[in-house]
Amino acid sequence: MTLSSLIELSFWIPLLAAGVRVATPLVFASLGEAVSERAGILNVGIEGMMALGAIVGFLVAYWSGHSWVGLLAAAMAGLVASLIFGFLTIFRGADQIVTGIVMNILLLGLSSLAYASIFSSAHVVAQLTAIPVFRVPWLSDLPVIGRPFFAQSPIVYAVYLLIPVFWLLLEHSHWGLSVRAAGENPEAVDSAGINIWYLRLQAVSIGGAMAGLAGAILAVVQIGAYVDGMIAGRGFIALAIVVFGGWRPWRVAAAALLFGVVDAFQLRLQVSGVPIPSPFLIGMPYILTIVVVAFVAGRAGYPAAINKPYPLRHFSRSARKLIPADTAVVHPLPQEHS
Amino acid sequence: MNSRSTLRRIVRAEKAPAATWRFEAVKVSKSYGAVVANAGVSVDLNAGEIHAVLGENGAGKSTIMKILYGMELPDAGHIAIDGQALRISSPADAIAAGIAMVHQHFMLVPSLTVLENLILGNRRFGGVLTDKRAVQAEIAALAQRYRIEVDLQRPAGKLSVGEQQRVEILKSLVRGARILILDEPTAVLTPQEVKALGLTLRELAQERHGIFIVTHKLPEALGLSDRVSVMRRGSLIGTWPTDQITSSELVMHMVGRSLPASVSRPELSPGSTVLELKSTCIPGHAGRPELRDINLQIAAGEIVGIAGVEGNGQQELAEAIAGLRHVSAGEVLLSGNVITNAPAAGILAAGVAHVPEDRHRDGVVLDFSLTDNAILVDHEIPAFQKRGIIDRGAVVRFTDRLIDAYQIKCTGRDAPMRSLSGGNQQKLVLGRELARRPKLLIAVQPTRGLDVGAIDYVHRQLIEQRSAGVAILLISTELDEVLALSDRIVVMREGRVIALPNKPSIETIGAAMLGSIDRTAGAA
Amino acid sequence: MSMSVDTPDADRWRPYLLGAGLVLASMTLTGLVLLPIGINPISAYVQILKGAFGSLNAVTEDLVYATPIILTSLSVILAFRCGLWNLGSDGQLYLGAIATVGLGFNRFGLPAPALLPAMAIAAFAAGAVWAALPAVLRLRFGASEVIVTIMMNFLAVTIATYLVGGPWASGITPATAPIVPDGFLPVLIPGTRLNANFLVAIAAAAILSFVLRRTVFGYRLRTIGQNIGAARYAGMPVNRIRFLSFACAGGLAGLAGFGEVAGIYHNLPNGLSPGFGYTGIVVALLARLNPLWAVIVAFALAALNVGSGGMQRAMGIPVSLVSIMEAVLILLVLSTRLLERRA
Repeated sequence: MTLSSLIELSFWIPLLAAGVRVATPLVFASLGEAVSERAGILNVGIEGMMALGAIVGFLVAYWSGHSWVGLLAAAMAGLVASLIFGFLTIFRGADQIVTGIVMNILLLGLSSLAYASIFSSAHVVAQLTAIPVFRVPWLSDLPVIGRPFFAQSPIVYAVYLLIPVFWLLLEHSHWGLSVRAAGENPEAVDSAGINIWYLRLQAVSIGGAMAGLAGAILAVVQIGAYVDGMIAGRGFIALAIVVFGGWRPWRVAAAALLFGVVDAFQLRLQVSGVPIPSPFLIGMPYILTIVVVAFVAGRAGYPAAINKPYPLRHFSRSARKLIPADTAVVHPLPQEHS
Repeated sequence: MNSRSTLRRIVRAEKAPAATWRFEAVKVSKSYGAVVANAGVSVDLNAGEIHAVLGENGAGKSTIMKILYGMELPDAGHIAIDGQALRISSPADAIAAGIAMVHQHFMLVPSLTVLENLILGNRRFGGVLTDKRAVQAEIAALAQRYRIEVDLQRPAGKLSVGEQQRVEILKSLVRGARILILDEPTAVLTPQEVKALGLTLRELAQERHGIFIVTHKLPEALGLSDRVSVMRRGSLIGTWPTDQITSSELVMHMVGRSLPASVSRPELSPGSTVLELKSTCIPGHAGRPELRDINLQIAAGEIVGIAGVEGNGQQELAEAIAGLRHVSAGEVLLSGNVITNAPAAGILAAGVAHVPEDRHRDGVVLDFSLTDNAILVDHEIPAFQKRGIIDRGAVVRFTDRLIDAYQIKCTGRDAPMRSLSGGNQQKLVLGRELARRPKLLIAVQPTRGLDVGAIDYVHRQLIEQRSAGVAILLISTELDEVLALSDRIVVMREGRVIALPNKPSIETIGAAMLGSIDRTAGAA
Repeated sequence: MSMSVDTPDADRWRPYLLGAGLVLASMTLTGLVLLPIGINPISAYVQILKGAFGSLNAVTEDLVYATPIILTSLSVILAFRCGLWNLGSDGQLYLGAIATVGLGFNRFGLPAPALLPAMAIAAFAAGAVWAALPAVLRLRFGASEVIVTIMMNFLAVTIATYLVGGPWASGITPATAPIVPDGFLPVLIPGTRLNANFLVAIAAAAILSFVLRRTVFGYRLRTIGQNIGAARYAGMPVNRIRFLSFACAGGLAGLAGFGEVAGIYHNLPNGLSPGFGYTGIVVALLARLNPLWAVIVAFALAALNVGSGGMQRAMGIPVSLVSIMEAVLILLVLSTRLLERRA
């Protein structure tokens, strides 16, 4: 690879295609985390949830023989993990960052343990058959963007559907309105009669399920195997992507694509034998993350209520018993019309 | 239930016969640990009536209202409509029953538009996706019917305080509320805005809505209501028709005795100028106004009071003098020395004491002991440390002296600050600051959240310091306080200081707050 | 992060009794995981105890394992106490190790007595520098130090791996070339791996505890951590104190790397840190940010880890079981509100 080849499309188109592929798990994780953070829950545990998703997805896909079953199982595993996380942070007032770090330690350890104990006696590294690329008819023949965007594994097309769904969900639905309000002024949401605790739990569950899916995509769809440490910080990079994308689905996806391209770029550089020491190449995504976070931090603002648990109400059991048995749940006042 | 048909019914009801109903709390009790907030409180409201619930801070009026709105559950007692008991265990239940609350701190989401705030959580605008255009027309019609002026497309964070309150009231109406509970509605309004609120409330009462007003302000309670109740220390003392009871009788009920004669201010001739602001400018931030061309002087032994509704720059002014906020132009002088933009530590060491507005955020560390809080400002003076190591003995002795001198009620000097009442916390802050023998004392909302005894105490302390020659800058939204304590009064409005004639009347002050008097202070 | 760690507890022993109960609970829960695989949890725990305390060598191994954890947990505590998250103690440890090895080759020909102190100072400085960058980005630009320190961890490991495989390779082992013997830390008990860095760790804990409780700097630090508004109001130089604290925190973690290189391996191997940084975070939280308790908790966790090695050798159970137990323990702690975040 010479300097002149950098100008040729034959370099950029495959790079873009690789970038889209690398970005896919990042998009999943970031979209989910964006919803969670909009509601006021910062989940640094997505790294661990991705690892959990990777091992669960891999195991289930391996045993069942179907990749999509593995993906489903991974999403559920991520959901369960995020429910634990949500319970501790929403209902027990635990600090979100502390809990997230602990979830990471727990889930990374659990994934490693699971893989080691199940495949410890195996001689061959277990592998899955890769999912074939599906070329969308006509669209994949478009110049420049055809190959990168429309000649990919089907999971990428799922992303194209997910982005507008998340956008509609966050910006144009009642649920999304409540979520956005919950991240800015949780008292207003409570006062409006919404159960803000369950609302936040829902949001964080979406984040967890998406993180689990992201890990499984990495293991099941892209690499076809589980390796200890395979997540390699992508969960934390997703946190930066969410900030960079301003918590808006389209921008988050674009930011993820940027990271994907950069990672694909440094991989190509490594292979091409360019005389740059490996730390700089391998470290590119991490350095980019640092730059992004530093650059955007001043302008962007996390939702105002992030990491501020909303106190539970004092529900005393004795009070419930004192209410007479024939109490109406709702007794609307007499209407004005006769 | 379709939103269109409901609203149509309400609109059509102008011609319907008046309905009557009776909403009441029956023997409601609530305790938080050892603290009894409500003890057997029974209070009721009829259709078309405005009922003021009066009481000083800590009397329990907010608690009973939170219970009525489902934000708290009672330990005993129940709520009923027309005698039928009702279970209200969450705001959702309250809303379904037609009860709405306008909180003291507005429940609006700043980044969402007014319209979005009104749609939030409102089940009448069903469906998954929000259909803003359809809803907008209906809400606009409702607003017009009640003569509430509001711009639905503006982000809620950009509204003025009065506008926000109007939106909150509209929010209640959009939810079909028949009963409105207003918690300290006049705390942030100018006198003229209070009158406007009164008109809106009358309009609502005419339409057979029922309104509870919770307040600690006597004149407004009398001016706005048909009936008034008094709460004291968690109990309801009594309920009377407003036109059948006098102010002084109400005061008796509120505090259990007649108010002490207001603190007398001995005649003093002020000494040399301690604080001087010359053409000071402080940039605005986050929607707060920019302060321009501030000129102010305070002499030793003089109390200058800044009246004005919150949010007009008073907080920023205090912070700038204390070294916590950047001054972009002009000068701040302390006894002739320039302290403009000097580091806060230096300003404090030069003899400035600052009793902040939000003591939980700025003034104390709740999780520290009293001792640790006592040395917050002075932790590095030679008396308390040698070569960077704190002299525990000296610190402990100092704290004990403070507790003794100011009669701070606590379980000991090692008690966490959190365990003290608001009044005792303020005593510590005040005591700590005064022990530093300051030349200038900046007191911002010094009696906020305190009960009458503590308020009286603070006032006496301020007068004593005045007699001792301390220059005092008093910033308060309580007009009575400013009038009682200050030698000179100025008003702050939108970042400017407005001078007032000697011994101004409340109307003059109110007019200045609204902008009818526009003279900016010369050498005020 | 405002945890109620500075609140004077009227009932000081209650949290710790509760803590002991939680330890038992987490041991039970984790033990339950073993049952379906057909292993008796009690015998597993017995093996752990044997592995941890069965011989003099075992006990010194506990201390050896505890040393870097004490230092990383102190690093985390120092940062947490002023409201900053130091999740990068692993990376700072690696930088300290790199500096130690670099000087340890003694290419500059330093005299023998000066070499070891120079290595220690360099390790501290390297760790401090690696922490200074996230600190600056946070204090000056508001960039989340959570993300930046974790990124720096990955970068540090990458650099270390490169050095091991490239310029400093030994050619034989997956480690760098060895340091000169003048750079070896003295051994405390002959025949064991227990070296002088253990004393350094204990001393650091004592010093940190003293500074926090009794000095002006410590008072300011604690105030910043509990209520930054109050700290500003009182005129404290908040950013300066935070920066110094964070840099020193990095230095402490650097010393952990120093100890591993100069005291144990005498070179820089791949995989030098099996997660000392993250264990340090767990220790810091379980010790409720108290430096002296951190020593005890670190020892307990170290014993657990060493013992689990014995358990693996005896019964074939993978050691990651222990990290799961640690995590379960802290999740239980979180659920009891001992570490509740207060407004």
